[in-house]
Amino acid sequence: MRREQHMQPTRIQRKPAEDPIERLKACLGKTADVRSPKDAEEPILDASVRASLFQWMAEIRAAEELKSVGVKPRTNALLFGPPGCGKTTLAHHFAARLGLPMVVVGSEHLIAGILGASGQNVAKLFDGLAAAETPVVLFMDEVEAVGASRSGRTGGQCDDEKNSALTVLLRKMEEFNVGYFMAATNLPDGIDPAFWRRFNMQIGIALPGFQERFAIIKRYGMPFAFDDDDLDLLAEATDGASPALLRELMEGVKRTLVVRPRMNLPIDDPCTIFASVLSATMPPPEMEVPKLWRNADTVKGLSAMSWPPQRMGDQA
Amino acid sequence: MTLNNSQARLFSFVQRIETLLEERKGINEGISDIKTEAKSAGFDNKVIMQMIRERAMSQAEREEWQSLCELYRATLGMLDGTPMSDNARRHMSRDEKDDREAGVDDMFDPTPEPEPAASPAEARGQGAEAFRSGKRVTENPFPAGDPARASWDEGWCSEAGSDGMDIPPEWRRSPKKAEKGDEA
Repeated sequence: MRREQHMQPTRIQRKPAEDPIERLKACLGKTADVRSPKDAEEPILDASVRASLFQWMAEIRAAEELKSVGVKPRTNALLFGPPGCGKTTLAHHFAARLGLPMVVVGSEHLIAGILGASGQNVAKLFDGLAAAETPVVLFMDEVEAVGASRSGRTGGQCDDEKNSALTVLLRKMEEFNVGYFMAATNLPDGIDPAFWRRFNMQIGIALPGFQERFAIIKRYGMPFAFDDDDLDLLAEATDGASPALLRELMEGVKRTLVVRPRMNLPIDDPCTIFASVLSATMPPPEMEVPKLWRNADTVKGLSAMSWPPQRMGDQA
Repeated sequence: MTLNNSQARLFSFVQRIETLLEERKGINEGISDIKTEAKSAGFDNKVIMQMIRERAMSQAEREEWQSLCELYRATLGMLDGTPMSDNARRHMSRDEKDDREAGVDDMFDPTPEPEPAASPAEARGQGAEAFRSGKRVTENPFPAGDPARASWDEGWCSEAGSDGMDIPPEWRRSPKKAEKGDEA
């Protein structure tokens, strides 16, 4: 017979979970998502961003040596740049390199409809992190939702509420000592100066360059093996596109390649395939429109591609 | 009618049992009457009977019974938000001799993960080896905060000659065309 002390009660636990991720989930409840370092994807980043991140990681490892000269490693960074440029992937990679879980907080976790509740949610988040007693990388996405500038506000009740939530965030951020804090925004101009100043680093994440676009297109084109010359053509035509847009484009192409034969439609013309994907995929309004989207001749130029692409397994 | 000796004994047994059964019937009727009376006074008879069962136990037996009930309820998710009593908690944490068969895996056994222990030089070497065998830089086996984790990462990066954030080779251009791409 099973001895009763080995049964696991479903509502009450004997002691906090051993696994830091489970402990964080238990302590944070619905105030955040917790991601394992194991789930991090490979980042495709610009050289300057890589250099900043690499130095930061080196600082963290040299904490003891830094202590001897009276300084500490930096603990927080604000990432800013156009949407879909891999800010979350970067933060997750950073957490994975340090072996720490990443706690992702979005505005839906913080902003509440009841007066005073947003500030309470911010406090609850930081209190939960302290209670979990495990180091983390806290990643606050779209942080302008709570960290927007206070100067442009009109003084209404809603603005008071936002101000109070920001005040709580500023204070809790200074008290935060269980890991590293990263925040990301697409709207750096709208960030409150006091909030901006509290970050040790402000890292701009730019749109990907040619080599990065090549890699992103190749990655999201898989398992179809596109010829390198074709990838060059696409990387050239997508200058100004974000990684998220490139992913959307290539996933659209893959979907079309699979679905069109089932609709009795041909897939032998790359221009038709790309045109059908482009018609339903657009970069966000505030961003520059890459050549492939704005110039019909660029799409026609894709007829030079070797088509249709082979699946990797089929090639072998 | 004259009875022989054994017949007389049999009659005696049967009559004694019949008498007791008759008495039991009378007692049961008496209990039913009391229950009817209790019910009309607004008491719940099921609860009364449970209390009678519990009163028949010693204090130790009662505590044991109650904590087992709570533990089973907790296991089945039937505590409905109420806290578990101290007795039940003590019952759970009681240190008893493990009577399970040795060497047989059990779903209740915690699976201890081996703690990798390595000097900085060893960890660096392991990191370099991991790069050569195609492991990703995030597959560091050492826990967060362990100095060996940093050494492993440094070993990996120095062997790769990069910061660990290079574009993976499978997403880069094929080697024969790399030259052209670099110019671009």
